[in-house]
Amino acid sequence: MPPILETYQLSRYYGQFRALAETNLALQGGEIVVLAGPNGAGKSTLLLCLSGLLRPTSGRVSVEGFDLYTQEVQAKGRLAFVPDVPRFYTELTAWEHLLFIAQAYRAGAGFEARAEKLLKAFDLWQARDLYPHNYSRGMRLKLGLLMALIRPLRVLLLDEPASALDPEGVELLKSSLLDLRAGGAAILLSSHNPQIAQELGARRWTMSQGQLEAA
Amino acid sequence: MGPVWLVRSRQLASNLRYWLVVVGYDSRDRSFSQKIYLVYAAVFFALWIFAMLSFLSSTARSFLAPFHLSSIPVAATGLSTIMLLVWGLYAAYHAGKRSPLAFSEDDAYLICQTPVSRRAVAFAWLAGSWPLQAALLGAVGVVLAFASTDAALAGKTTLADSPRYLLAGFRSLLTIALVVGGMQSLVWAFGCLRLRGDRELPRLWLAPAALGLILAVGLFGSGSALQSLTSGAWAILLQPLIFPLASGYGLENWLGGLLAGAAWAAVGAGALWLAADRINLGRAAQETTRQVARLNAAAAGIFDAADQLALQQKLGIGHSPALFAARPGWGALLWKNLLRTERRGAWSFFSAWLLIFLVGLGAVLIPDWGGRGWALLVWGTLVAQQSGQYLRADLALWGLFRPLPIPARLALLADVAVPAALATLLAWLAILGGAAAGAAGGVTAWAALLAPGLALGLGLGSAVDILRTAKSQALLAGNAATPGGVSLAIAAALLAMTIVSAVWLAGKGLPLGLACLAGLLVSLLADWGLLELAGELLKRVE
Repeated sequence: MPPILETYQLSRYYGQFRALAETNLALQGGEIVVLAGPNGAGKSTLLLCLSGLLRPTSGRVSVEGFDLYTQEVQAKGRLAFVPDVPRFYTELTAWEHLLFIAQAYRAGAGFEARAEKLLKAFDLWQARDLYPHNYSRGMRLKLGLLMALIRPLRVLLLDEPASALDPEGVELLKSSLLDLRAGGAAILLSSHNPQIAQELGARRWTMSQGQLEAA
Repeated sequence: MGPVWLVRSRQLASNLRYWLVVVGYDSRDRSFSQKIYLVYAAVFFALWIFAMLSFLSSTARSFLAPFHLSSIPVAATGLSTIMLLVWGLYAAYHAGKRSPLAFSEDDAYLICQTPVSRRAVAFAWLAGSWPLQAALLGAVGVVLAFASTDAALAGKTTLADSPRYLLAGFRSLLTIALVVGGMQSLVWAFGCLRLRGDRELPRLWLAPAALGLILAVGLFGSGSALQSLTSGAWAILLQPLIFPLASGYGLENWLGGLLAGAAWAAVGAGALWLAADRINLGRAAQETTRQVARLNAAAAGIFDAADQLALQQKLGIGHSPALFAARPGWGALLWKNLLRTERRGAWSFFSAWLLIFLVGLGAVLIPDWGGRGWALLVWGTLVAQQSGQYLRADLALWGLFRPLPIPARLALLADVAVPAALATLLAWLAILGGAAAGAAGGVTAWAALLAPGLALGLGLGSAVDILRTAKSQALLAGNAATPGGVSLAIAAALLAMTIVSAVWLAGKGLPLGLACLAGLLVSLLADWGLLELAGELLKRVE
């Protein structure tokens, strides 16, 4: 079976500094991979390049065979990224952010029921009409996660998703990731917590000085 | 030195250093040349301020003359009285709603959490705020004093009269500074009443509002507020304020006025001493940290952050869902932009677009092409700035905007289409307005054909300028560039291409309607090129 997420000679330099060495990786559907490594190892750079937020110095990223740069609409429609510190529009409430994302991804059908279910599951239902700048860091992270889950996806990238979550939030995150895996999605997340890979039954990749090992 | 004054003096010194850096003086550099530069800068700014205030004095004199009072100093006294009353009541109204003592985040942790003397905090913070208020209001007093001196000299001023002007300005400044100090202390004491932990006074702001209303009715009821202050009950009632101000303009004994000003300061200080004893600093910090952060951001020139903080304050906690429905695909971007505009408030929206309309109307009404060209350039720059707002906001949320599965060109159009449509509509209104005024200066209704292409092009030119310097890392940190010189150059080129081609073709005998249609085609071609360029730039952000 062809991989869902694939890179070819992907690299990123900041001037002379190599943040990400030429990387070839492949993720299959129904697979979870935990990206580990010390601070500054290049995990976030890799995730940013994979998500299209940071243009790589060289190489390609393809999502279900669609190139992230030449077939960006098709690729982006299948790819979701949750940063470690999600940012939001100041003027839109949490509910409106979910609606905006659902509509932008043409996933408006049954939105209200899905949004209610997700918000209740992640304990944000009571805070749905609040502006996200009034949220705590953990609540913002949850909203960032819900904005990925409200739309269809084939690949989910997460940067330190458990860093600001309470224990219940971490359990919810894990069960959501397992559900997505069961649905055939490929998931790549960075984490400093070695337990999370075990608990998710995930493969573990390590990064060091911009080099991906055990890929 | 107590802990409060230690912290406050460091803060004030730091503020002073900041402004010295702004004028080019580095306080860490102990060299002789820096000391000379400081003297030079002080003399330069003193002369500059003196020159500016002198320049304004003739305007002030012509402003005061039509009030038909017995003399310019009498009118100046009346005007100063009204100014201080309005300022004092406005400040008291705000102090009744929000703490007059404003604390930064650092203060909230370092000062407000500690059991320091509340009185010391109140006076230390007053010492930081009073000089600025006194300088601003005192500057008006100095201008009025100069106007009074102007009137006394009957316009025959020579350089030898400079000391006379300086003395008049100094007398006025000193009395106003003392009165302002007293009034501000009273206002702060009033605000402290609400911050005391032992009682709730949520409607305290009603008192200055009611007093303001009574004063407005009383003073303006007779037709002229200035006349009311020269004789009658109001003049007697407000004598404690009028007397020191009048002494500053030479109408009363100056030493007496100075004593009255000192009495104001003493009464204010006493009131603050009594009221500040039990204020809840934590509550004051909760009410003001965002405001201080916003002011600090604006003072440092970080206007986006200041705008963001002001918006957060305005929006409050939450909002019920939007009434208008979201559309799928790129329509979601349009929906989001409309929602953002609605939430930002009518005033910021209407003031920006009203200015664009008025400049557009000016361009229609100005009879010569030289003046009209300048007006059009200003109009184009304003439209370009407004049109770039949505794109800048989207780019500042790069992590949210970039992954959207919307083609780059459509996303750009979604961000510039609404401002372009609005600019077009207002241009049409300006042309209609010009025609109705009967002074269209050769601009006919056919010119309306040029507006859509121009407006869209200005928005896309702005997008090109914003995107050409965009870098992923800056965008991920929330920093999107503002449209600048390139946007202005594109606006100028687009305006010139479109209008010159229409005018040139009309001059060659082509019917005006067809010539304008050709101009529209030229601008649409340019728009297409700009859209392609901006789309590529958006896709290739490094």
